[in-house]
Amino acid sequence: MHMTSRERFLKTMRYQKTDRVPYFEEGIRKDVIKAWRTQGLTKTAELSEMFSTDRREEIEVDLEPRPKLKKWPASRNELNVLRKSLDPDDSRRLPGKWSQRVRTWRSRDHMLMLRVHRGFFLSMGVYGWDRFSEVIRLLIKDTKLMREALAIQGEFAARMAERVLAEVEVDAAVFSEPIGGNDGPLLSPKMYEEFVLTSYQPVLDVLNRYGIETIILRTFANARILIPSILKWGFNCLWGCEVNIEAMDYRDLRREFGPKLRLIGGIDLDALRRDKEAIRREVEDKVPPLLAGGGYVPLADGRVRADVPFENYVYYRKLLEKVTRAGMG
Amino acid sequence: MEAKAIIDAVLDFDQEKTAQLVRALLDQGVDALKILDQALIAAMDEVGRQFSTGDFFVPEMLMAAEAMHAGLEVLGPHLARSDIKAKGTIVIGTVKGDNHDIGKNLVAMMLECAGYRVIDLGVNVSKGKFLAAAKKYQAHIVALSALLTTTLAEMEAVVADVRAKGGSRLKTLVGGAPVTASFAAGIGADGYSPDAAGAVSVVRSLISA
Repeated sequence: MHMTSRERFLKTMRYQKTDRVPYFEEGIRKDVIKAWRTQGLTKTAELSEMFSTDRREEIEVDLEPRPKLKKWPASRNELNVLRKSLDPDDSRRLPGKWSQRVRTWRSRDHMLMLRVHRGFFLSMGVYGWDRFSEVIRLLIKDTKLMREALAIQGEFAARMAERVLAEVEVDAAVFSEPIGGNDGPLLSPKMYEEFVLTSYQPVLDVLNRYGIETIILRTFANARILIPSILKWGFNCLWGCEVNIEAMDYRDLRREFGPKLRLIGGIDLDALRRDKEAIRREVEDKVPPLLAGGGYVPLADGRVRADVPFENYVYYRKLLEKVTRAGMG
Repeated sequence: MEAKAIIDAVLDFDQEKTAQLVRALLDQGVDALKILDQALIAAMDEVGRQFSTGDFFVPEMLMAAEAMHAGLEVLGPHLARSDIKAKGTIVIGTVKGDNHDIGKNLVAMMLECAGYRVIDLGVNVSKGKFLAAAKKYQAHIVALSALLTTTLAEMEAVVADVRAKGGSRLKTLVGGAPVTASFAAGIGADGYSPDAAGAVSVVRSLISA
C-alpha cells in the first residue's frame, strides 16, 4: 500500500490506516544547510533525498494592510483607514503566478495548506511594546472599538480564504498565533473567545462551507488553557511551535482531549540541540503512544536552526523513521 | 489609613480614583512611604497573586500597573522629599541579536510597581553594556530577556560575564519564551521566572538572600 504525501496526511488526520506517518521538514533555512555543509553534509546531498520526506506547501496570501498603515487604529475614525487598506479583491494579495499555481495544485500529490489568519496580535499591528500596550488598553477600555477592528480583519480574512478556496482544494487551514507567553497565553480564555474567536467566525464559516476538514491552530506560546475554547469553535488540530514542551506535552493533551484534537509537532527541539541520548529518549518516549492513538504528525516543535549539529539531525531523522515504522506494525 | 480603597481602585484599573485616593491620604498627613507600601505595592502584590492563580492575565496586569502608576505619580514628589530609597536596583535588557521588547517591558513594569529602581537598557544590548550599567548604577540584579532560541547563547555569555566580573553581590535573572528553569540553572543564572509577575518574587528573594 503506497500512498502519496497528500493521501498520507488526509488519512492521518481522519484516523485512517496509512502506509506510514507523514514526515515533514522543519523549515530548514539556507544558513543551517551552509553550517551543515561543514559538518558532513556533502555539497550535492539534499535532505529530502537522504530521508523519507513528505512535501508540505503553505499558501500565504497577503493579509497585511495595503498600503501599510502609518498608524494602526486607536479610535473609531481610524477604522475606516484599516477597512480600506484590507481589500480582498486586490490581485496583489495572491501569490505570484497564481493561475499557473492553481493549475499545478489541481494535480498535486503533496499536502497543501492555507494560512487564513495571522492571529490576534499581528492582525492588530502589534510588533513591539507601544502598539502592544495600546491594544491591551483598548481591550479593556474600548471593547467596542476592539471588536470592530477585529471584525474588519475577520471579514477580510474570510473573503481572502473564499477567494482561494473557490479555486483550490486545500488539505488544511492554519490560524497562526505567534505572540504569547511560555507559561500561558497573554489573554484569558474568556477574552480569547469573546474577542478573538468571535472574530474568526466568518473565516470558520467559509472553511466549513468548503469542507475543510483540518483546522489548525499553530501557536508559538503555551496555549494549553485555550484548547477547550478552540475545540468549541471548531478547530480540531494543534501545532505548537517553540513552546514550553513540558507544559504542552502532547501525551497529556491526548489523554485530556482524546481524538477530537489532532496533533502536529510535539518533539522537543532542545533534544536535537543536546545529544543522541536526549534525542533517543525524546523520540522513543513520546512518539509511539501518540502514533498508536492516530491523528498525529511527528515533528520537532519549531524551526531547526544552526545550533542543531548535523550529526544530531541525521540521528533524529533516522530514529524517527525507525520508531514510526515499528509503531505502524 | 484607607489602604483597601486604593487597592480596590488599582484592581478596578481606575487611574483617576487611585490618584484621587492617594492625594486624599497625603492631605490627611499619611506618610508617603506608608501609602506606597501598604496600598500601592500591596495592590500590585495582589495583582501578582491573581496572575499566579490564573484570575488575571496580561491585560489585567498591565491596566492595574497603569492605575498604580497614576497613584505613584501623585506620591512621587513626596517620596523624593523623604529621600526614600528604592528596594533595589535592577538593570534589565534584551540580549544582543534580539529586538523583542514586550516580555522585557512587562517585567520592568512589574518591578517598578514593586518599588524597585529599574534601569532599562532596551533591546539588542551587548554583553559589556549590562556589566557597565550594573557597576554605574550599583545594581543588585542584571535581568536578561530573550525571545529567539538563537540568542540563548548570548544570554549564557552575559551570565558568565556577570559571574566572572560582577562580584558576589550582583545576581542574574533570566527569562523569555525559550528559557526554561533547567536552561537557567545550566548557564548558572541566579534566578529564573516564567512570567513578569513571578519575576517580582524572584527578585525579592535574590535581594534578600
